[in-house]
Amino acid sequence: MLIRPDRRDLGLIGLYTGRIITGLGLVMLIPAVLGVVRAEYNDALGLLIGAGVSLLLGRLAEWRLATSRDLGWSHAMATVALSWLVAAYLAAIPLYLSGHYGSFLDASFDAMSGFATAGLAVINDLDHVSDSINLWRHLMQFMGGQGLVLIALSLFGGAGGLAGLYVGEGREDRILPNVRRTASFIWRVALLYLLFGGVMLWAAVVHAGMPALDGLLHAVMLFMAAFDTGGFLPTSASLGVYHSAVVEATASILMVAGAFSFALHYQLMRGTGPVEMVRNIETRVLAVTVVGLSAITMIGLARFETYDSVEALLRRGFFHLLSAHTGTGFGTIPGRLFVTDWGVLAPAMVVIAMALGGMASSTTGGVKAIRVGVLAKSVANDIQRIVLPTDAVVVGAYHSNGRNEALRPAVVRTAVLITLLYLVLYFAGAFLGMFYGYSIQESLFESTSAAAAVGLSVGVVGPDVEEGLKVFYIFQMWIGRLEFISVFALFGYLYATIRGRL
Amino acid sequence: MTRSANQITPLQTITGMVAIIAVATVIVTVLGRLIDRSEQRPPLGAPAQDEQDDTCPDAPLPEPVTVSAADLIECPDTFDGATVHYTGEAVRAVLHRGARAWVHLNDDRYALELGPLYEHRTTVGGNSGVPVSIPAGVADDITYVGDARHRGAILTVTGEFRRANPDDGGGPGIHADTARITDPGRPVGRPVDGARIVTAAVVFAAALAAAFLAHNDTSTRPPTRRR
Repeated sequence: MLIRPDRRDLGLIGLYTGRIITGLGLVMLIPAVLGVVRAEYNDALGLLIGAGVSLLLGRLAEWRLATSRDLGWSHAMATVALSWLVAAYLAAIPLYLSGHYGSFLDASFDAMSGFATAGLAVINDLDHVSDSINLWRHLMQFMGGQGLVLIALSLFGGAGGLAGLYVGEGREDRILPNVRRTASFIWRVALLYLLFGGVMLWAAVVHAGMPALDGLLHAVMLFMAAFDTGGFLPTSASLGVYHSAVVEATASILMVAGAFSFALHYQLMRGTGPVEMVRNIETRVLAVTVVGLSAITMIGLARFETYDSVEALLRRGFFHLLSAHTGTGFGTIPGRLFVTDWGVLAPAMVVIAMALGGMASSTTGGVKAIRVGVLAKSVANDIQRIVLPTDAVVVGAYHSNGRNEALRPAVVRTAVLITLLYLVLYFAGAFLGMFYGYSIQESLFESTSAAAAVGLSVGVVGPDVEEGLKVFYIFQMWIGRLEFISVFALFGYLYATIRGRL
Repeated sequence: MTRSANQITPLQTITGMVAIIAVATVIVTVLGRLIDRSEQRPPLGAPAQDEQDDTCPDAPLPEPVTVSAADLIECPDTFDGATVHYTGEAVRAVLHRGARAWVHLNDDRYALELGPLYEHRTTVGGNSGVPVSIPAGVADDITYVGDARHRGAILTVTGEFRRANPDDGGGPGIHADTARITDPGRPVGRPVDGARIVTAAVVFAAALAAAFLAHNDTSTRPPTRRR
């Protein structure tokens, strides 16, 4: 029987949503300071207005809804889904006030794209956007990649039930004994990579010819976009603007690091990483799919005589395949060339790579390697059962996060369910694209890119894209990044408040 | 509080949702007025380039052929190896590489017609451009590159378009034999918008008041639990 939630249930969801948006408001002050330093006063004021509204709503929620009740599992799930929607709305305020968006919907599109680490953009005249607004776009990716809820956990803590918030953002592995310590570890990993990766990128972009100060800002933004597999960049030419193999190689290392699960980073920091990387089902799956899809991409590009040198095949073919597989969305060529210069086979491999994504509990979107691995193991087990004598007992197992796991039917069922949901999501967006008159290749490419939070585009997504597609892509980025369950919980709450029994 | 006091009816739920949507709409409307206050829209004329034709022209082409970035991206095979004539605004950075330098030249309407969006607030779409390798001597003469505070120099270049430029690891671009700065660019700016200052002050004052209440109002704060 469906139980109707009462005021206390909704109050609890409102309270935690308020705490999350308070954290959002505080982070919004960082680019506002940069705006003042760089004399971008109108954009700094826009950021202050956005921060003020966020803090106002967050503190009002704390004032009126404070309670000592613990957060239940369903509350947590609904809170995550709701807070991502509210955050996209509030984060869009400074974007909209920058004047670079045709409507508030457009600004909300880019805000959700940032939080979901998609990197698709409908911004106008990106090449003249201020540094403060660009930093805000990249901070959204950083927050979304690390997890909006992590901000709340880090700043405000909370009572029981935090595990639900953590899982609601598409994370499953609790690396350390409790969620707060896990959140703290994830921040430490990000800051460590920021230190080393940021310095490497700074050196790389200065080597490419950028002035030192501008190069520092580019390096910080590039780091956020690469490690959190976001894909925004401060220029319309994406990573191609640097014309540098060194920048591309450095970014690739960070993209791969971002596609690794934080549990694997934990193993790497403990010194057990090399063994874990060999045994882990996800690293094995990624190795197979990256190598396999890259090989076919190269064959496709050679078949259409797109590139005639090994360097070009690596810097254009392999790089884009890696960018797609890690869900980053960096490009070193204009996206339209996927359609006009890449033939058919290579772009198809890019779409498959986007659809698969990186590891579970990383910053990537898509189906994820763990589910692909579980499905492959399950199929192999079924074949074994057919081949072996009928009384043979086949027990499947896989290695993940430092331990061996039995291949239980419930795990396989969940993997099948989530994979099917992603496929439905990819095709639903593709059908809508075709409804608006785009070709099946273009529609499927953009839809997969949005739902798997990648950000590569063949030119459909832009300031002029149809409103219906914009709304659906926002929905895809939201539900795809959160991996369905928390969004279903929110819809369930809404339904129960109207149709549930007392 | 009893359970009955906490119950909500479907009508209350729907009313609450309508109220939230109404508040969100009001906020967006107010924000829209803040943008309107700072608009100085230039007149919109015809687009700088003709609408992109779906079909690519047949080779051979009369050289040098005047092209747009869209021509080169939509028909890379057609123009591969051709001598092209191209005009655009240098944006973001000039990257020196020995005797030559890379610049990204945009030929969209912001670049060639309207100027940076920050200046006029008229949205006409995204950017379009191509990378161009120019002689270092010309690059040294570029004073401004396009960003939020500058309209970049406008360059007219003539050179070979390479669909997969071996000097750039297979990226598309123009290797310019000649490059000329036709407009040096200029700084752009806008006065600080007073309405934004007032709005920011009001919103922050309200946020501080809410924070004070949340911190000090013991009537709504839950009792501290012993651990």
